[in-house]
Amino acid sequence: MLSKRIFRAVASLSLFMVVGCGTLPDASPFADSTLTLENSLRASGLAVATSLEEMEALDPANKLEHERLSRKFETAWQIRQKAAQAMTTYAQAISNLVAAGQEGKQTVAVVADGLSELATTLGIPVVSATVSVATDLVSIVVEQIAIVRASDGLQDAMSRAQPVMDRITEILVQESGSELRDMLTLANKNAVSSIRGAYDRDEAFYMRVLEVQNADSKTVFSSPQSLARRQILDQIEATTLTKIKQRDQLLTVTRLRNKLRMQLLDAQAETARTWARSHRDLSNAIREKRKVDVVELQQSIAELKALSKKVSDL
Amino acid sequence: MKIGELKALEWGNLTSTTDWIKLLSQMLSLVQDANSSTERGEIADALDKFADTSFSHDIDVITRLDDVARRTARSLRIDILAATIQSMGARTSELQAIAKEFSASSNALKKQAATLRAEKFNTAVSSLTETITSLRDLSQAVDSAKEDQLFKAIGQAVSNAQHLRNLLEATT
Repeated sequence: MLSKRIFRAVASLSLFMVVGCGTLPDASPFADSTLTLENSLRASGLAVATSLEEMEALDPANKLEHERLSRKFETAWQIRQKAAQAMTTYAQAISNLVAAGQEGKQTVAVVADGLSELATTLGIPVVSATVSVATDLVSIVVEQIAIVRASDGLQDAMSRAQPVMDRITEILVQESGSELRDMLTLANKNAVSSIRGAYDRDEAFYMRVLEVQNADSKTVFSSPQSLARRQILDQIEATTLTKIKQRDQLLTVTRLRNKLRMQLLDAQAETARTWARSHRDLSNAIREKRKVDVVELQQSIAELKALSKKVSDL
Repeated sequence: MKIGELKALEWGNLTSTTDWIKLLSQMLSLVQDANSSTERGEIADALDKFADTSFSHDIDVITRLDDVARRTARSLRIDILAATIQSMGARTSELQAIAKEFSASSNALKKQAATLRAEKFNTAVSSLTETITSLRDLSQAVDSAKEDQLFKAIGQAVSNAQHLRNLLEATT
């Protein structure tokens, strides 16, 4: 009985001597959000490229110019995509180092199992309670050392990366709000111009028919010829109106597509801002050894994912 | 006519086909004066507006005018699109540098993670071996009831704990 008490007292004293504090925040939401941002960038690039293709399909006369535009855009976008891939790899590397700093207990447990097995094989008597106490003690030490090491490395890397994060965010936000938006607007205007152009003759004809019908309505017709003329005019009006309605349907679809694409750009810009903020929050949380609030980031990501899907489904 | 006057055009004042021909001719002559994407855009929008608004009993002529207006509008926008893509291309080297920075950081972080895992393993092996040994000795000494052995074992166990504490302190 006394022997157990002494053993426990020494073990407790040892435990008291090595107890530390601190933790590392979960970096996986940041890594996930970076991947989503990369995917949404791909979706935005695809939205602009598709918009250029639609413009080309409606305006075959400028095929060569359109093809040149598409090629140049593709080249420009590939560089952004590569930067986004590098961002994802960076976020995953952060997550990986955080994980390395958090797996202290598991490492010690694995080593303890290995040592127990080795001791048994070699016939060295080791009581399992001894191994258990030693494992607890060493786990705390290894865990704390790993947290501090990982924390130092992360703080250093993340504070160095922050200006780069801020700059890439600035570029993404600026391009979403200006160049990409302008491109969608221009491509949409050209698509509308082509659609309207294809029906300009019908519209001119329709307006003329309406004008004639209007003039006729002021006169009282009674002869069979004039009644026949009215019937023919009505038929012409109905046929032309069908074409005008076709045009309006095409215009509505084009407008809706453009609206969704614009929404995707807006959401992407907002997510990029939130993403850069979350990098700063994560960096602070690592320094202060506390958890991070990822609600805002997760909301932006959910919105962006839904919009990306909608645009992809167009 | 000047580019700045396009937005204030009174489309309702145009009545004859000749009016429309004259207006389109004036608008087309503005194209060569356009010095910026904004000005090209304004002309393009006005040309499409021309085609949307124009009306004449001479359907063949007005349709041909509309076609010229729309084709010119689209060409102008293609020029603007080309300029926009070019301005995006101007950021190529900066974006490449950013990607390189991220890659360098990622590689450094990966290396640190690998080193940390190896360090953890080494610390776990050496610390566990020492701790198990000292605790086992302590346990055996307690059982043997020999005072000198017991004190020695307690001393070793405490010294081992101190060693672990030192490891922690050296890190923090």
